[in-house]
Amino acid sequence: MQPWFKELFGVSKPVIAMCHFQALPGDRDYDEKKGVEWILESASADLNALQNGGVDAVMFSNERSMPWMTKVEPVGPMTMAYVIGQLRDQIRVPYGINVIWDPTASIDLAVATRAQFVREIFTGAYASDFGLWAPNCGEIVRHQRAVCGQDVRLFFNITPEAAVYMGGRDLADVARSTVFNARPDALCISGMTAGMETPLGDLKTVREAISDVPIFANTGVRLENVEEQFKFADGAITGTTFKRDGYIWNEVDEKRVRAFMDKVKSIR
Amino acid sequence: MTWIPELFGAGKPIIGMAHFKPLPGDPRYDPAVTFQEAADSLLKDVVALQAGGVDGIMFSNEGSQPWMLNPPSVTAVSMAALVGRVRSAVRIPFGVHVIWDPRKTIELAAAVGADFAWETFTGVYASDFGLWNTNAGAVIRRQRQLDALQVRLFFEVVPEAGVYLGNRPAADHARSTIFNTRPDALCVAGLKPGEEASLDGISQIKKVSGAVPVFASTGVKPANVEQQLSIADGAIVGSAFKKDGNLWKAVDEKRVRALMEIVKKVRISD
Repeated sequence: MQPWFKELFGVSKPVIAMCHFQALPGDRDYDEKKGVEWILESASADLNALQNGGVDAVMFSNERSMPWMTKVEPVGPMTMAYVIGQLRDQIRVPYGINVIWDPTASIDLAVATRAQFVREIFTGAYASDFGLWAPNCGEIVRHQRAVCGQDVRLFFNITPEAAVYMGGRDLADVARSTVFNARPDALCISGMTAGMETPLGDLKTVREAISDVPIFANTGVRLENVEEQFKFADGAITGTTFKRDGYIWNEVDEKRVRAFMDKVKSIR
Repeated sequence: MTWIPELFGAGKPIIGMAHFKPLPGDPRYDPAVTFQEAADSLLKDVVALQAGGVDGIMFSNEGSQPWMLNPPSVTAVSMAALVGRVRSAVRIPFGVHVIWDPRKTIELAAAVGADFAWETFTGVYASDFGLWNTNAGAVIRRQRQLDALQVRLFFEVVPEAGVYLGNRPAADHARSTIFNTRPDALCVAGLKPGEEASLDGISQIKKVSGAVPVFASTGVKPANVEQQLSIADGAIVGSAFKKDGNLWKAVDEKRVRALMEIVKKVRISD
């Protein structure tokens, strides 16, 4: 495993927990009566439940900004920055950023809040629920350098949700050429949507194609399948399973976090 | 003008500037400065301004020179993170100013829950930053989309570093801006930060501004504050509060207090 990976997370098979934001100003579901203060309270409660439950890292994302955009309006990341600025004293683990689905905005927010990593779609060309989806990795990574964000680790989701690779390209080929062309710090392999398990066959395919880049199981990891997923994955990014009743839009349930992390500790 | 005493708790309010050091993406940004160091430097200025008795605080990216009319998002996102970090220490009304971008200024105000925002919202200028155009209709519609209509807007009608194209008289510009865009306040600036606006210029605007308050937005200092506030309804103050009166240095609480003592006397005699 890459030395930075162990250094950043301090464990093998790290679990990165999602800290989902409520809808932000400008979003369809923004609650102007409760305002930004409520977004802060909600994120603060989830962050503390995740940390008390023992996760290895957190990732802040604008999960409630649906329908998502592939190029966001700046007010979203500004609000996230303000909230993370307020929470910063409470954060005790490494943290990352995902401004869905905008890699440049994600890097900007990471630099602004000094986050250590970012997850996004950086490569490929997809037909998706959000329209034609074709990020420009070369441009994004040059922007990263322009804002002095070279230290931010980039986690490339190469199987984006709600989308299909145009031309039906083979996953092993995508993984191999992405690693050669774009030098990702890590790869993320996903199921169809948040909460849906990553097909074990996909993890196995990528594991066999790629040996020197860490792989995350990116969606649907839970108590019942984590052991199996960790046969091929080097870590997991988990959201839904930590929520009350396993329902994505509920608040984080510390008991569920602890039960999951106890299982993970028994595996590693 | 009733909103002024309601928001600031005083007539002739003084808004102190809290300037950001260069931010990510800015030419003079220093990546070796940690987030905590950047936040501490901002926090010290906020604390000194409040202890010295100002009525409001304006957060602005003075360190982003040369300024842009459309700065990259990372500038305002970085400001948001730092405002978040110092927010719990802010005890008085506060505003934001993303130089010189009205749309991002409104977005930042919505993101951080600011009480007011300062920008050049109307007019067309030839300036140090190139052709300086505005689109108030689009910006105010954005304000509504973000449920941020409560944010008070300070319109700089005589901006720094530029001249109205066609040499339109400032008083005409002010009068039509008031009719067309309903600003909450107008601001009159001198040539650059630290240089006072001409008294005559402020008077010209004041004569046509009716119920809309007029602020002197640059160069107000102990030597001229009494005179400027004899006409202006308030002031935005930066350089005079800094150590040695130097824009780029830290806020000096003693200097803040000294100016505010004079302001309090002006208010009593007003």
